[in-house]
Amino acid sequence: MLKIVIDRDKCTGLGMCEAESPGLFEVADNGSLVILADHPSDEQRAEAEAACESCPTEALSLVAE
Amino acid sequence: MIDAPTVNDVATMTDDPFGPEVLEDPLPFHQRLREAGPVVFLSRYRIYGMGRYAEVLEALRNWQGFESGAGVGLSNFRTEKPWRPPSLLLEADPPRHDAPRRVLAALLSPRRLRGLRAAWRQAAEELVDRVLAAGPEFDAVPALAEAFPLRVFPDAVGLGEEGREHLLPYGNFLFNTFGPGNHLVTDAQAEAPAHASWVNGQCRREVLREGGFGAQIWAAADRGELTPEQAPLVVRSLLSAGVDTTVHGLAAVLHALATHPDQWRRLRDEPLLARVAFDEAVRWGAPVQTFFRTATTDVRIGDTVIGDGEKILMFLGSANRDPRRWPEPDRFDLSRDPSGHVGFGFGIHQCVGQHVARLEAESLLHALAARVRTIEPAAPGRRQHNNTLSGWATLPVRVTC
Repeated sequence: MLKIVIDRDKCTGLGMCEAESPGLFEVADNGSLVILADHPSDEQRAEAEAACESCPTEALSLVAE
Repeated sequence: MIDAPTVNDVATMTDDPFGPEVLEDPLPFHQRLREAGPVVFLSRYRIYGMGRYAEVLEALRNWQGFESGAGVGLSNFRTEKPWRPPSLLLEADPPRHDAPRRVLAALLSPRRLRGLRAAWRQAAEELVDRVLAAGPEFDAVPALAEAFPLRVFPDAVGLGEEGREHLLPYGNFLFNTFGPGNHLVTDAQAEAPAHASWVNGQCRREVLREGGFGAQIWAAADRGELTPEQAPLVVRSLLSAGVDTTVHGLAAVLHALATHPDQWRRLRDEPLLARVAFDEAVRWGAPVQTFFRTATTDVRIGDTVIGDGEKILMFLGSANRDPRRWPEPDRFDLSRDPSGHVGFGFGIHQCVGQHVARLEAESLLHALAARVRTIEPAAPGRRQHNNTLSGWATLPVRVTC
């Protein structure tokens, strides 16, 4: 199973991930990133990968659990 | 500026990257730059430059080794006084950079912008209808690339109607000042204070309409996320970086589509490709061509050591066309995945307003694709020279509906 892992020291809340996958990521009003579902479904896997890939500060990764 | 390259074996180039030949058509220079090596010494300004994707990306990523706080232009703020109070975002480093950045990122996030989508779509449709009603030939720069951002963005910020004509020349001047003091800077020096003074005046709380981005930045100061001294400078960042860049980005995508009829047909068949089309145009046309960084310590790139305090110029437009990264880099191609381009930068300073730019582009391209069957150049366009931006002064086009 894949899990989305965030490095909060690196995240700047730009929301590239949210643009790729609004079902999994959301930048809150205070600028912090909220992960809406830690474990992307099989259907969400491609967009989760694109979201992690798109992060300009390399704060997101997908790890196998 | 430095006396001599720290390491002797770095390739030297004598070209002026801010001269009229390069600004008219940077591609031949970029190719020589990439082939000369991962880092080159640009002897005219006694600075380093890099044009390959991998090194540009690494420099953008390495904010600890390459600071922005000494200025992202040729001028070194360690030794020279900036012409305006430095930007809290663009010309700052962590930790000072982070609070203003966080406020703007939250304000311009995809979710927050969703509220503007319907109104911007409608504004784009009205604009395109009006342009098309006037005839099949028009200059796409003033008619669309300038008109649309100026129609929607100042309203979204909450600016008053008066004086908005200062926005474009202010941004144009600002982006020129990141280069040397050539005629692009000196020609506009006399009028610049009037533009800057108007822009600064618009950053005050009392003139910003309630509900707009500007008022929300002040609200963030009320919540303690910014100091009251920071708030007007964060508003200024919106007005500095949010207008000319988008105009040139829209001009880039319109130019690309008008000169690639097969790609225009693809977009018409598949309007959802509007986002890809815009990002591919930002890769291919690179509206923001260059930014500088300053080494915070001796930083090694390949065999070259960039010494503490030395300036390095990152050629984003060249990185976006580096064949080491992009197959057939000179092709404008909607079947490509352009993500990873550095046209919006990379790392902690990556363009915080890019979701706004994408929404503007998407709105305009959707309206055009729904109405215009073919679009082609009616005459050659004229380039607009700027020390940082790559853009078009005119793009005469002919359309059929």
